[in-house]
Amino acid sequence: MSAEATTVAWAPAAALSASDSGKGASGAGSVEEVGVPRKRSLAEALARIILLRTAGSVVMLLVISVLIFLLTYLSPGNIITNLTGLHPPTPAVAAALRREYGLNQPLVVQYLHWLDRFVHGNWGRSMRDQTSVSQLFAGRVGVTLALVGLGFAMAVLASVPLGVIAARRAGGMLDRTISAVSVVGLSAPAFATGLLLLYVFAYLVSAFPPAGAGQGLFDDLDHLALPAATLAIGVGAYIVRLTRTAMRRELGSDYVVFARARGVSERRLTFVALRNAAIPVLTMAGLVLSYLVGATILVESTFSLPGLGLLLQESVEFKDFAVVQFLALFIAAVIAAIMLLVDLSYLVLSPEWRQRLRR
Amino acid sequence: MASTSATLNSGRLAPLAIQGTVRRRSVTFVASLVVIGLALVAACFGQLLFPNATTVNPLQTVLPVGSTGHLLGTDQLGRDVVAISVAGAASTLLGPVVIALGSMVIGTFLGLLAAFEGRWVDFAISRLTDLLLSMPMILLALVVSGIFGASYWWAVVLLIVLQCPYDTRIVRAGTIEQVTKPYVEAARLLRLSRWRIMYRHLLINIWPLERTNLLLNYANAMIAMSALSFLGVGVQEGTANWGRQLVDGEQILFQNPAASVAPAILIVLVACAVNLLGDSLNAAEREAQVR
Amino acid sequence: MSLAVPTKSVAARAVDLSISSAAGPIVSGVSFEVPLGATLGIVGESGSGKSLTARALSGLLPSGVVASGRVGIGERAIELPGTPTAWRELRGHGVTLILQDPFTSLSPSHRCGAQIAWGLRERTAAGGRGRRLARRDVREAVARLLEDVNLSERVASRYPGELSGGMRQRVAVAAALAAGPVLMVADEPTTALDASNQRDVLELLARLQREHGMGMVLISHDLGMVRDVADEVLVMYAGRAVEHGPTSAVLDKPAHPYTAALRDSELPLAERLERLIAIPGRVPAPGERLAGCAFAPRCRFALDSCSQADVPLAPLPDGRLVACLVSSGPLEAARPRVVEETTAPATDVVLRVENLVKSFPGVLALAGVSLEVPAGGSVGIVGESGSGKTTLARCVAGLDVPDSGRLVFRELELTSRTRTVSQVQMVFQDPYSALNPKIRVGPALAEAARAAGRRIEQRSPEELLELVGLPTDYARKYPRELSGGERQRVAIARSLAPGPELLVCDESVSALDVSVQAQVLNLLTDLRSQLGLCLLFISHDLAVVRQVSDSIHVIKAGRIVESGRTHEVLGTPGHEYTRQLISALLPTVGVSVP
Repeated sequence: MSAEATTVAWAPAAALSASDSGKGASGAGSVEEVGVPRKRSLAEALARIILLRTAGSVVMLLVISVLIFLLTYLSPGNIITNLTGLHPPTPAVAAALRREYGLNQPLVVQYLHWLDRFVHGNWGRSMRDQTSVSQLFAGRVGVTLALVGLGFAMAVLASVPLGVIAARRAGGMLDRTISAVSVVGLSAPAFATGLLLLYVFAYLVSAFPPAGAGQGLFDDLDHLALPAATLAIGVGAYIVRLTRTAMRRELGSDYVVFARARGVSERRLTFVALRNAAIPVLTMAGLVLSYLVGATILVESTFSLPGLGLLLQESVEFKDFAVVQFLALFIAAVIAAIMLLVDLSYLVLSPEWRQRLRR
Repeated sequence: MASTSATLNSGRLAPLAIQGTVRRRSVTFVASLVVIGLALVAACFGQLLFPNATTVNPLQTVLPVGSTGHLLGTDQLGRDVVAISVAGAASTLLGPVVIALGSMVIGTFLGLLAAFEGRWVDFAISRLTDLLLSMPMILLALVVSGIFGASYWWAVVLLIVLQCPYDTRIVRAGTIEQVTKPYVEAARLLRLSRWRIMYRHLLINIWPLERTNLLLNYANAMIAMSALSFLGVGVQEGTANWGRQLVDGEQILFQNPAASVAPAILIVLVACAVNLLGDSLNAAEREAQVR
Repeated sequence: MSLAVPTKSVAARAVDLSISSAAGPIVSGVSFEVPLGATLGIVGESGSGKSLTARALSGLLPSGVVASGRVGIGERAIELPGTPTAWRELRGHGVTLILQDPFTSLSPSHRCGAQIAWGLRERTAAGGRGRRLARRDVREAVARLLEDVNLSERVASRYPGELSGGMRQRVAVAAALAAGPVLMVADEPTTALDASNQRDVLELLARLQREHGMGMVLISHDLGMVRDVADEVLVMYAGRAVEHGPTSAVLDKPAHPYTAALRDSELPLAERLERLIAIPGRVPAPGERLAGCAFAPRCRFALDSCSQADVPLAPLPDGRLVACLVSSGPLEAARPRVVEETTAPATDVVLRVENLVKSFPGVLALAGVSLEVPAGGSVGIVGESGSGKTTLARCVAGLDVPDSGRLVFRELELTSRTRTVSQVQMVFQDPYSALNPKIRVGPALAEAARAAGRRIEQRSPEELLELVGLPTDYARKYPRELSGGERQRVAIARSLAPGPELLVCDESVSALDVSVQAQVLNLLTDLRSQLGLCLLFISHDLAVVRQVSDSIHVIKAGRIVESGRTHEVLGTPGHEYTRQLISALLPTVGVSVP
């Protein structure tokens, strides 16, 4: 949950070498063709990179799944008691469990069975009330999606413009105000913000209900307002920072000076810079995502929202392994999928990347 | 290709002194220092100031703000909120110091190694870093410490492990920027040992980056630790710890909100102060580099 | 020079232009006029303030730097620093600026055609800011502009990253022309390009200026380039104008001691000088400038009165302006002694390179290179960028390992195990990153000396500094307190500390000002005779190699295409490529090579 937008990210755009001034020697006076020969077709290169990245993500997920699988085994205590909960099982139950989970087989085989079951949607049962994990999941995922969706949307819609404004008027009052506010937003952990909002808007001013999810669409929104705002403040502050840093760097670059010198309007310049700033901002998407997950868990806990985050917290507390394993792997998979999309988006956004692909 | 930036790196504008710029900094700088100072005092001397802060008083009902003798009222265990908040400073603020330092030491070692050695070493370290970074810190910390059970200090160790990929990344990036420069190649030509090059030549150039990062690291560590405390990891119910106080106080939110709001504000205040200080130093450092 | 009566034939005027920053004044009281269809060259070295002067004409100074004075563009005038609104009226169709680095002056994410189109405006009769072009006319206008700069209209749909440096610079020129400027300011427009591209872009600019009738201000440190292209020249030193007049007069028959010194520092191609003319000392930084003539401390004609009061520009009988109390007309050119060049006597060989091959992913850098460096000799390697010359240097020094081939140092084959620090050392190109910024000069030199261990007698940092002609109290300084030339000397001292016999110089003077180049080259020559050092000198600059090497090798695409004694190869080049390299330099060096 790194608060600062590091300016030295491994941004792909940063490391282009400019050593080819000799290519494409010009003939005096003749109209000239493009000098750099195409090594590979674009479609071929694209297919290659998509395959490579996807394979990389899958490998990463597999490694994570192994670690998650091993959780039950590494945890202190007898494996059987871990699976059944607090009550020591009767020998019959123990034997049945051993059969069901194949505990007598070698670890690798057990893992493969587990993975097989997982991929086919057989996620086991929650130890607390024996409901299937998939049912639990279905019941809770809606709330989390709504929360994250609303919060993130609010954040992006507010923070990108704020970041741009702050960058345009760097050093001025507006910039300093926006920066100061964003520091507060970053420094306040989601549960603290959540609590303060809860206090002010649900207690002092009874504008919103303090806890739980609602019934029906409008009641839902009512219940989601404060939690979503909490999320939005935290993530938003982050995005403001990132956008501002990236925009400032772009606005200071040579191509902006040159464009200004040619009489290009400030308005167009802002959009040009923004377009170029999109890439460094995207490289931070992973960190933003990480923050978002952590914040969601905290927010759901603070506001007692029956979503996946709260489920995770409760399951950890009760050592409900099946649920914990599922949720952990699910979150990892979602993050991996989103990061894959972000990686691929560089190709869409950056001609430089497309160029490098061809070589 | 004729080099250009060097020739046009014209008549040096005298570098602005770092000290001067920082001192000229605004009210925020001073305010941050004050806040941090007070927090440190509370953390180190809390015991002396309020020796009975944690004494549970089962007969005491929850008193609201403004009650006689209890400026901010009492909490669910009958303790004075002001006292318990001061007492909670130590637990909230000291663990993160260890995390920030530990993460920096390990991150520096791995980052320097990865950037300098390159190839397989870099590949291995980077993949490991990627793996750890692909999972959100809170999630991992929660799951691991929840499943395995964790005391306060084990939570600290866990967070060091989870935080050092960030440091490694930053140090690696900063080092890569330096490693291709001629002065490093000259050191190689002198056949200096890799450790000498890394720690004598590279580290001093990375250090400014790390120094400001340390503060921001601390803020993160503090926030992460208090989040874990909030979620119930590493601290029992009733412990004097701002994160824990916050969650404990939620139950009596309508009777004495101060029990939760006070620690909430304290966390935000201290984290803010540290972040602002870190930003100030960052800006001053960057200005000093403009030559 | 008043702006009260604007003439239709003047593209631009600057009156009393001054620029300053927190550190001190950078430019003081510069005035000039640029007629339409004429080119003014502004010449100076680092610290002269010429680049900022260029920027001031567009109101594009960096933050922290402020300008004062007046600037007139066409028929409008603006009082500096000027408001954003006022500048908006002038930029694009009034004045436009072309930057030095083609790799960063275009946005990487937008197509070339779009970038050119951003600046398109209709040309109005009144000379004001025209309207944006209608969409359907844009494509045609862009194609015409591209044609103007000798590029096919297909370039419009390409991204800058797909083009070479020379092409990018031409796209930039097309973009700058889009709004039909009255004045074009070009800040070192060709410095980042290869020799052949340089000429093309310059010719292009000259042609466009003629066709469009613009005024042009060309900023450069390269006297030769300015000589070819400019009608009038303004010479700047430490922020002041020291000489101003017609090009042929100022550059060929300079009247100011500084201009004369610049001219004398130019390296001839036709003959080898025993000692190069250098200007002692260095350019004062903005905070260091004292009263009186800025050049006086370094001037061989200086009198006491020169340092007392500021010296204004005053007219000479032939019409030009000179800021000098002493000079009254063209100064005589220094006549340095020429070295007799003969074939070298056979001596033992220090380094033998045998068939070196080195490739990187996708590129074959060295395709079998062989050469020899005799004891006490100096061998030059000449080539353009991408020729493999740097790879060769790195392999010889030991920074890269060749794929195949041998390096033999005095009968010893060099491998990572047999190498020692006292065999070969290297001096790099960029003095600003050649020294560790956080380590003082003294400790850096001491560490370098220690690296050789007991093998050689240890020289102290003070001795090393004396060896390279720097004051011994520099040992306490940080690199940032030194100028570029001084840093390069420290770098040389550091590489000499372990006592190597062979010094590889990879473009070691390319990043230095002309007058400082001469200082460093003289130093290398002195060191050769003092220490019996041999040199492997790598450069793209033929004139530099001419002055420093006994024999040269011309390298192209990883192969040596011609070798021999320097005066023979350059006097009667055998290979076509060598001839090409020489002819690219010809107009700038005023001496023809038969």
